[in-house]
Amino acid sequence: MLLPAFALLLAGPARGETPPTCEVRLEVATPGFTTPPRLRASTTWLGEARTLSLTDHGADPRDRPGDQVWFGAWTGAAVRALPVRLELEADGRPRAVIYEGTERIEGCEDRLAWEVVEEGGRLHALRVARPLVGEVGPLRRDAVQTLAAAAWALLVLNFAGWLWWGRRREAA
Amino acid sequence: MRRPGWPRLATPAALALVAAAWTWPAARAGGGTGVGRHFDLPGTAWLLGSAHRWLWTLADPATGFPEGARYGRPDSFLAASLGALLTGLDPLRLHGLLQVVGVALSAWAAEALARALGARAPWSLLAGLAFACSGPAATALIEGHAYLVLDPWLPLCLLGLVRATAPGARPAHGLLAGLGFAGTLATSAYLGLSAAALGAAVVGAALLARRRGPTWPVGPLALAVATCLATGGAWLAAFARAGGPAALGGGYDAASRARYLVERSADLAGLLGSSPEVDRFGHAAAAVAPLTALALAALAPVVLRGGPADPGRAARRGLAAGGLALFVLALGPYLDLGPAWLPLPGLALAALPEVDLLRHPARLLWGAWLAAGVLGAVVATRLAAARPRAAWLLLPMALVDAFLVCGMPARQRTTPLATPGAYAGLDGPVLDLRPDAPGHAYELDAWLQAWACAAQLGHGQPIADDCVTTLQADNPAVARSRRVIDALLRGQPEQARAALQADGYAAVSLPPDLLLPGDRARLAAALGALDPQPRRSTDAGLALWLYRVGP
Repeated sequence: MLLPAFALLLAGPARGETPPTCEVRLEVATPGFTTPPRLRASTTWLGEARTLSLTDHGADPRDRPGDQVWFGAWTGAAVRALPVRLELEADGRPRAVIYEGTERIEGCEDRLAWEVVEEGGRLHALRVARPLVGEVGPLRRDAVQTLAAAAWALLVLNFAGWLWWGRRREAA
Repeated sequence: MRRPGWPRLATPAALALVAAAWTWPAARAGGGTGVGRHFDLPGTAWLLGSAHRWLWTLADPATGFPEGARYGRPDSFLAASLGALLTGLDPLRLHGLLQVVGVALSAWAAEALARALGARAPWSLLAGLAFACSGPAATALIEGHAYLVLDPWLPLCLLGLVRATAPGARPAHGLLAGLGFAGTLATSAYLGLSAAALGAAVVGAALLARRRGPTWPVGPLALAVATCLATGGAWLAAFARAGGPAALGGGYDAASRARYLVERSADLAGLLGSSPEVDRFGHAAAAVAPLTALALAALAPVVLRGGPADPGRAARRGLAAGGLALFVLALGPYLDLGPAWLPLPGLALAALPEVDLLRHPARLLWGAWLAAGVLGAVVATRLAAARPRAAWLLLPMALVDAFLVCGMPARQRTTPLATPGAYAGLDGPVLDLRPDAPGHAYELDAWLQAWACAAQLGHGQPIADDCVTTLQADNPAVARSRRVIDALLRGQPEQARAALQADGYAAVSLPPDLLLPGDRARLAAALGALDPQPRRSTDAGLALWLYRVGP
């Protein structure tokens, strides 16, 4: 037991590797506007001010065109947290800040998602925990996962029952 | 007992391999990279790296500076002791090694308990996998509480009790039980409670069986009980000295407490898997079940019924009863059935203010899954007698539970935690200024506190943060940062400097990216009047400006 631990200890941590280029994806779901909205995100990434126009035309293979989910991505060195500001201009309304917040960034690839809602005649973006895009939606994914695990549990139970049945037959 | 042909070293070797794979990339942690996803990762790394300073006095002059911080209730005395013993080792490296070695040793101890209760190798491995590679362990690793997976103590405590309540009992068995119990308490109160519940059930069942079956000397059991009571009493006394339940900041009514406990309890869907959203926020509290062991344990009443009397029977019954009780308690005040919430015994417990001590009922599943694993391993051993080849499939099935259903190591992440370069050359206490979100901003507050503490591992200078408290109101750095930022934003940098110098601070740090642009400019201008040439860094995943404010 101690030998593998010793080996790991002597091997030391991973060093000398090229720092990876990390990516933070932004996904903003909007209601249907009569004219396509213009969405802009801004941040300061390790001291560097950046802006990004979000799009929904499918230029990135991960974006499904025309699904009202506006997509964009920032890349750079690993970062622990980012301030994010979203601005929206739509249907003749003046450009307005719809979200400001500080986001903890998880690992080297992260996705941040919002949903634009209208309350009291004012548009603002709610930060949502569930990813908004992908082939399988999160609700469906969770349901599939739970059903698969339940099916697996039943299979295991049946297998154990089959083993028990064999034991009973042998005893008889 | 071992299966003929199963080499003696195969069990620890297999468990070590599984542990390294299941905790990956913990084996490569260190050098500024931690393995874990939540703010308890830097906090635990700080605990490991700083314990040599405060463990013996429970007071640390280098945190909560200048008053110093008292750590009467650290997350784990065991982790602190290990950190103090291994001073000099990179704390992030130690944090990673704890994960690998902890999972392996815990699994091995559970496997030994299963063998003591009638399982044979390799089926006894099911107990190790169920205990050390299921939901509670994954949650601990993702949270960053690596010391929680170093828990051979719970199985060893029960092993001591099983031996101490059987013919041939010796005082050493009683001592083993007591030491195991002390180990669980030193690791976590939840593990201590699991040990107390399972231990009481095992002893109760053994005493009942003693009235009808073979007797055994009571001396070793008396020694075990005395050791456990003394250890538990000492722990409670230490806890009371540290403020008791009132120090936890509870104080709400029973209904509020019940609502609070609901989201920290196990739920039926969580037993079948985790989701990325659960992993990302809060405490990654998906208590995924070891399904193979659980299915086998469910057959225990029929498979283990009848047959020749064996010495492990009473202990197994006790273990089953204790495990079931812990499972029900882990479900919290209500069983969430979607449209209906079924009241559970935990609801009655929520009326007690002392339940503030048990904020995470789901952590009681450590004991429940150990019981399920041990019973499952014994059942598998019996079933394998009839279909030995087919029964081998149970082992890969348990691996499917650990790696696919539980989802490790795919759910795990690495986190950059090197000390930012701006701290280089720092030669005195530093106050880490922080943005101050109105309302509830627990997650970011906790991260800012944890980053300041983790950075201290690199720069080694006193800081203002209390590195153990989870209540921002109790963290002196928050109020101190507010006062300094207030003076700076009011355009009175000299007043800020005077306050900092009066407290003995040599520098302040500022995370510019995390501030509103206007505040960033105002603070930079005010601090620039104190130090026109701040040190700036953007390494280690954090932009940081360091201003010297000393004379």
